[in-house]
Amino acid sequence: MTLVADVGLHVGELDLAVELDAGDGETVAVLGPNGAGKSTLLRILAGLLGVDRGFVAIDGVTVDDPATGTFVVPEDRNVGVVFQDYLLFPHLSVLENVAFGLRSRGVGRVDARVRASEWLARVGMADRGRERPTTLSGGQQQRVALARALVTEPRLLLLDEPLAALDVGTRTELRRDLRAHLATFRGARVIVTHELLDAVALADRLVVLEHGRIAQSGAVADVAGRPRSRYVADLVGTNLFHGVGRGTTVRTDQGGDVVTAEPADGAAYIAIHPNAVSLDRAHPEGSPRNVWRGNVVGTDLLGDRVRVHLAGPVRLVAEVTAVALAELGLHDGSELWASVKATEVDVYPV
Amino acid sequence: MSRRGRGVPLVAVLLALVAVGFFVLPLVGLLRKMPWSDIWDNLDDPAARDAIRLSIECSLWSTLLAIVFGVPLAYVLARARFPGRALVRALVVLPMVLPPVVGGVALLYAFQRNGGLLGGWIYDTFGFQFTFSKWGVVLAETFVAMPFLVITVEAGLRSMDRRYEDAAASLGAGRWTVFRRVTVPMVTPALIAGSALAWARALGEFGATITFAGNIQGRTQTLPLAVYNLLEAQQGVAITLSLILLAISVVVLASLRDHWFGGLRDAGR
Repeated sequence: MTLVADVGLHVGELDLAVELDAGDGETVAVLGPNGAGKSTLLRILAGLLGVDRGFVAIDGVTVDDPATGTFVVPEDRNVGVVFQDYLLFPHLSVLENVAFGLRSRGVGRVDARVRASEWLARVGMADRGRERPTTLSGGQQQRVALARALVTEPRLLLLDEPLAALDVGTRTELRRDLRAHLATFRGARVIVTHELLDAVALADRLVVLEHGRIAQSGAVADVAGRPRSRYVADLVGTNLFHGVGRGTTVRTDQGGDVVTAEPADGAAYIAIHPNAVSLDRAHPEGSPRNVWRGNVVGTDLLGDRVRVHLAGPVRLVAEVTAVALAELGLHDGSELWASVKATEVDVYPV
Repeated sequence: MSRRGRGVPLVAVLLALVAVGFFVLPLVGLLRKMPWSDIWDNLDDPAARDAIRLSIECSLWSTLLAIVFGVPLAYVLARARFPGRALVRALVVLPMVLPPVVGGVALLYAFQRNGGLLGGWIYDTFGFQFTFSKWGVVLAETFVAMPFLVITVEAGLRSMDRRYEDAAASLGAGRWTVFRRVTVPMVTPALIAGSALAWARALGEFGATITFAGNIQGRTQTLPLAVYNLLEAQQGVAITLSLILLAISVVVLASLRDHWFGGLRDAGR
């Protein structure tokens, strides 16, 4: 593993205790709400903060370990950082920004400029080298920041909210660009973000951080498909319940029963995608095993689809088309029936 | 900008007008006495020429010294945490409120040849004395001018986004490189403003200079001292030199408008 870290740090309100590793060519996304400790973790890896306990090792070399008194300052770590807002030096030209790391590491002026130019060309910014960073768009600044971080050939690349500073319109394209640029970097990458979409698009592995602890980690599809916390469930937009299973029935903590296709015993999570929830004005005919009566407590419009929030024995979010919503004639307080097939209920142990 | 509703009370307006008049009247008085046709002759006066040359030389030296020592001091005050930092800052700012004459006397007892804290040792070791020399003027001017630079630069350092320093460190820059290539360039506006203020203050220095360095034409008689000296005998020259100092003050004020008074202007909007 290129990066192996097991860090503990107490700063202010935050009590951070996280294990993290990343291999060559692997992108790990650290996802979490504001204040979860994502940026603090990144600062620790970069050497801008020291840990209280635990260690950080990069490429087999311990760079931070209070137990042995080891601490390698940021300038001596082989780590590249793309900061939030990019932080390109406003008093230097784009080319000088990219050459900064080389100059700081003792590379001669001419050589540094040549290598910086090569990197600018790689990120498609060859013709903007003489300009000041402030004249660039957000996406261009991001590419320059990436070139600046990679020009010294670090073993570990850290990116702090690399897409947060961009407007929504250009994000999709820049996300794809960033993914392509990251793919050419051979070392390990750690991305901090609060956007699930960024994490899904850029990372191989997800680490969800909440209140300084890892709430869930694993392959992106696993985390998104089987959330284990309210935060992740809300991010992926699915219904999540915690309960106790007995055979093919799980009694949720709120009291309602959910019938599943797969048997589960003991503490379990249940995930129901809003698409799998059918809504009817009358008790539905036919086979669905789960039928609950509920009241509409709110609706959100998502393009041509509508998310309907229901209160009842099982609090659910259902997703229906706007047309279906109109046909149902729903409004806040409307009473209706929600049904879910047992085969659409995903149950997994805690 | 139109304002509706309750206006400013008439009494306040009248008192404010008196105050403005109080500031304007002396300027008018000075300009009225100005012998416009004799300006060049007045500037050609030997005492005037010596004073101008000495003032420029000494004020630039003291500004340079203020930058060389004041910027690191501002940096330490803004960034380092140490016990007694508030006390150090108070000491640094003290010359701004201390009567300059007292500063001159204090400098005297530190640097004079006979009985000065350091002065005796300096004279014995290097055979050099600050009193009655150009360097005495520079010392006195630096003493009163450096605080302006220190507090301006310190404020600039405090308002700077320190994450740029983190970015530089992550790019392999050691502390000195970060300071030299990122911190100082990013506080350049504050540095320029502080230097201009310090220079203007050094140029106008009177009390500490005359007390500590003396009033010798060509050696320690700077512009303000010359104005004071010549006011009786050569009024025209004195007024011409006053006008030079006034003009410089106006230029410095105008150049600092955005940096120094921007906040006030915003508050008034």
